[in-house]
Amino acid sequence: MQGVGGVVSGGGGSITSGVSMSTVSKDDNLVLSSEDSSSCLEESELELGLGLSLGGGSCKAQQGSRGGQYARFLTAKDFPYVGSSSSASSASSSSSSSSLSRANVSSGTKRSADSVAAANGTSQVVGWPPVRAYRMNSMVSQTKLPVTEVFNSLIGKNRNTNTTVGKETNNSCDKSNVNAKVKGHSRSSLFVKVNMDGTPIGRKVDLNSHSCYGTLTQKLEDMFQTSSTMMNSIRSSGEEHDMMVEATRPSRLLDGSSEFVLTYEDKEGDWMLVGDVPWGMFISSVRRLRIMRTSEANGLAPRSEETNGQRTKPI
Amino acid sequence: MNYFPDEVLEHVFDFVASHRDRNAVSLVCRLWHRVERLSRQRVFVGNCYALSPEILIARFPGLKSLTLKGKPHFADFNLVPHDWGGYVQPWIEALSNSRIGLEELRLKRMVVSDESLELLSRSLANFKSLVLVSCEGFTTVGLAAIAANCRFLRELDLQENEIDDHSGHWLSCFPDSCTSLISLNFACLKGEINLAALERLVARSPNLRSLRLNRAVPLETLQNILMRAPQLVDLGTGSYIHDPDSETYNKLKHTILKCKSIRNLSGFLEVAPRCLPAIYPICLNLTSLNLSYAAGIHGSELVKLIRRCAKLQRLWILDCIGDKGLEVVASTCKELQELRVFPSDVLGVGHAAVTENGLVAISAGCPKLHSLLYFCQQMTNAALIVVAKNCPNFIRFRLCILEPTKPDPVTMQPLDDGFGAIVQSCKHLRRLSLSGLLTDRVFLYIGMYAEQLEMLSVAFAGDSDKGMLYVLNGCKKLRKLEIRDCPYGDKALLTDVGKYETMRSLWMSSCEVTLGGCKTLAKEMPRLNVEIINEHDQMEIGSEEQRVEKMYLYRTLVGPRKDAPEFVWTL
Repeated sequence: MQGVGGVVSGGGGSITSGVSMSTVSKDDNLVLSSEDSSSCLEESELELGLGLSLGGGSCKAQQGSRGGQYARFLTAKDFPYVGSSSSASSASSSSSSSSLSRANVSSGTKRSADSVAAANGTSQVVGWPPVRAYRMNSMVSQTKLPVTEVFNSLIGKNRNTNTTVGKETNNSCDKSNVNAKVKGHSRSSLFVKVNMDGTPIGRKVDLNSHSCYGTLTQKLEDMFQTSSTMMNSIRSSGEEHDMMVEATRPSRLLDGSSEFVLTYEDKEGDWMLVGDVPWGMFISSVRRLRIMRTSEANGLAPRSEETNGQRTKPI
Repeated sequence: MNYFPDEVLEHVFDFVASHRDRNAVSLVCRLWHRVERLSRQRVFVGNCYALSPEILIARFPGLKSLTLKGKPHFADFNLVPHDWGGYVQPWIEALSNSRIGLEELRLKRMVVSDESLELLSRSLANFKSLVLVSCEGFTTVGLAAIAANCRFLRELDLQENEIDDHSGHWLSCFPDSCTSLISLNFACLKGEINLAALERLVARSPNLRSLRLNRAVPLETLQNILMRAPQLVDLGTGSYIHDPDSETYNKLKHTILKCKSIRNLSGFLEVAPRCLPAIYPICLNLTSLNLSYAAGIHGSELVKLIRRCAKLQRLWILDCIGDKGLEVVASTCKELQELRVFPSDVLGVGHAAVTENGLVAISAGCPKLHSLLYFCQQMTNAALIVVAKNCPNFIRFRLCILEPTKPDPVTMQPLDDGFGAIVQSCKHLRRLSLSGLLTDRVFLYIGMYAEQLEMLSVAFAGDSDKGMLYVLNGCKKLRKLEIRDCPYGDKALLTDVGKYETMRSLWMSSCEVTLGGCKTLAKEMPRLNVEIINEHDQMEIGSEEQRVEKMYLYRTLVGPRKDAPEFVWTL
C-alpha cells in the first residue's frame, strides 16, 4: 500500500497539499512519506499540515478513517540532505495505532494504550487480541530490538475487512519473538518531560519502554493527539494567529499554521533535533523533549544545506 | 423465626457467607433486612456507579471490607478512553468522614490517586489490607503513605497496575515497628527497589506468607529473603538470573530445600533457564504456577519443569509451550482445574502457538478442568465437541482465536456447532467468551442451553439482531454482556428494555445502534445510565440516525454520574 505523505488523517478535514504550501517552500522540510525508511532520500509528495505521521506511520489506508488525528513530528529523518542517520530507519513503519476495523477509532488516549498501540505495530484492530494492556506492555518491553533493523513495509488493510490481526505484517521494531532470551539486567524507567508548544500541560514519557525512535514518536503522536484539552489549547493558539476557530476539526485549525518538530535537550543544555544519533546514544544524553513549532526551530530545521550541527538559541 | 432475638438471627447469618446469599437473606422481611445489614462486614460493589458511597455507608455501618469495580471490562483492552472515570476518591472521602472502621479495600479497574492513598492511610486507623488490580493513577508516593501510616497493615497486593515509579524508597517507609505483614506483592512496579530495606522488612515479618517481587530484585536478594522466610506459601521471583556455577546459586539451592510450604510460584520476569533446577525440589508441592510473564522459559526447559509439577491445580503459561507441551501438561497435571494460555507473540508473526490439538489433549487428561482461557491460532468444531464431552464441568470458558472471524480451518464452517456443544454439555457454565467465525446460530444455542450464564463476551460475530435477541431472551441469569464489532442495532437493543435492569451492565461498541435508539432506551428506562462515549468529537447532537461508536449502560440507584468527562454523554 503506497504511503501517501504523512498526512493528518483527521476525518474530513484532511490536509491536502496546496493550502499550506505557502508557508514553506517546496525545497524545504519535505515531509517524507515513504514507508520504506531507507528511501528517505526519495522525493515524495509534499504534504503539510499539522504534524503528520512520521515516515510510514499513518500512511496506510487512512482514507476516510474517522477521527484519529495524528500529529507527526518532524525529526532528523525528514531532513535527508543533512545526512540521514541510520537510526532514522527505526522511525518509520511503526504503524499508526488506528484501528482499521469496522469504523473503529483509535482510542489511544489512555496512556498505557499509547505505548501498546505504538509498539503493537502489526495489529490493526484496536483492543484485539483481548489481552490486558498491562500484559501487552510488559511483553513489548521484553522484546527490545537493535535500532538498526530494517523495517518491512506494512501491508495496509482495508478497514472493512475484519480479519486484520496482522500476521502477515512485520513491524520489526517489535518483531523479535518474546521467546528471545531476555537481557540479564533489570530495566528501570526513564521518564522525561514532554512539552508541546501551545499545550500548557506537559506529559511524561518513559523512554525505556521504547527501543527505537519509531515507537517513541508514535507514542508522542498519540499523547498529543486531539483531545478536548488539546483542542482548547490549539484553539487558543489558533486564535492567536487570528484564524477561524472551527468546532470539530483541529486539522483545519492547524491548516496553515506551523508544523511541529521534535527536539530534545541534551545533557549540555543544548536543544537538538531528535533522530540524528543512534537510539542508545540518544537515551544516554536526553534530558527532556519538546515538540516545537518549526517556525521557532531556527537552525534546527535547515533551510539550506547546512549541517545538522547547527544549534538553536537556548530556550 | 420471627420470635428469635436479633442476636440469634445474627449468629445464624454469620454462617451465610457469600454476597449473594446475604443479599437474598436481606430480602426476606424487614427484620431480616435490618439484622443482616447491621451485621454485614463484607460488601461487594460490582459497579461503583451503581450506588453512592453515602448509600453504602448508611446501610452497612459495620462495614469492614469493601470491594469496588470501576471501568467496564473492555477498558482492559484500551477500548475505554483515559479519564472515563472510576475514581475511588469520593469513596475514600466518604469513608474517612464516617465512623466506618474499614479494614480492607479491594479495587479493580479504578483510578486511584496518591491523594486518595494518603487520605486512606491517615483516616482509617484500623486499615489492614489493600488490594489493587488493574488500577492506575498513583505513584510510589502513594505507596509510601500506605507503608508509613497504616500501622496494622497486613496486606499490600498490587496486581498488574500502571504505577509511576518515582523511587524505591517507599519500602523504607514501613516503620521498624511494622511486623504484621502477611502479604506483599509489588511485582508490577517497574523501578528500582531498596534491597536492604526489603530484606529488613522480610526479616521482621514473621507472618509473611505471600511475597511477590519485581524485576529489580536480583537472585542474591531472593536468596537472602528465602533464608529469612522459609515459611512462605506464595512466592513470586523477580529477576532470576545468575551464574549457575556461583556460590550464590549454590546457596539458593540449599535454601530452597527448606521452603517446604511454597504452593504458589510465579514471576521469573527475567530468567536464566540454567538456574531453574534450583526450584525443582519444590515443584512437587506446587498447586499453582504462573509462568505467563516468564518469556525466557520455553522449549525443553519448560517441559522439564512442568513434568515435576504433578499436583498443579492452576497453571498460567505462554503459548510457546505449544501443543506438545500441553500434552505433557495433560499427562502430568491430573489435578488441573484452571488453565490459562496467553499469546506470547501478540504482534502476529505466528511463532510457536497452540491449536485445537493442545486443548483436546488437556481435556482428555484433566477431567477436573473448570476454568479456561485459551489463546490459539485456530479451533475446529470437532475439537470443541470432544472438549465438551471430556469436560462437562466448565464454569468459565474463554476461547480467543487470534485471527478475528476465522472459521474451522478443516471444514471452513463457522464455529457455531462447537460452541453449541460446549454450552449444551456444560450446564454450570457462568462465563463464556466467543471468537472465530460465528453466525446467529451460536446465539440460538446459547440462549437455549446456557441457563447459568452470567457473563458473555462477543466480538466480530453474528449476522443480525436475532443473535443478540436470542441471548437476551434466553439467558435468564445474564449479568454482563459485552459486544464489539457485531451487526446489532436498535431493534436488538430495544426489544426488551426491561432486561437491562436485571443485569449489571451492557457494553456495545462498533455495532449498529444509533443515537436515536440509545435515547429511546434512556427515556424508557430512567433507572439506567446510558452513556455514549464520544471520542474525537465525532458525534453531533442533533442527528438521531448516526451510529454510536461506544455505548455503555448500567443500572444505577443514583442517576447520571457527576464526574463524567466531556466526551461521555449520559442520555
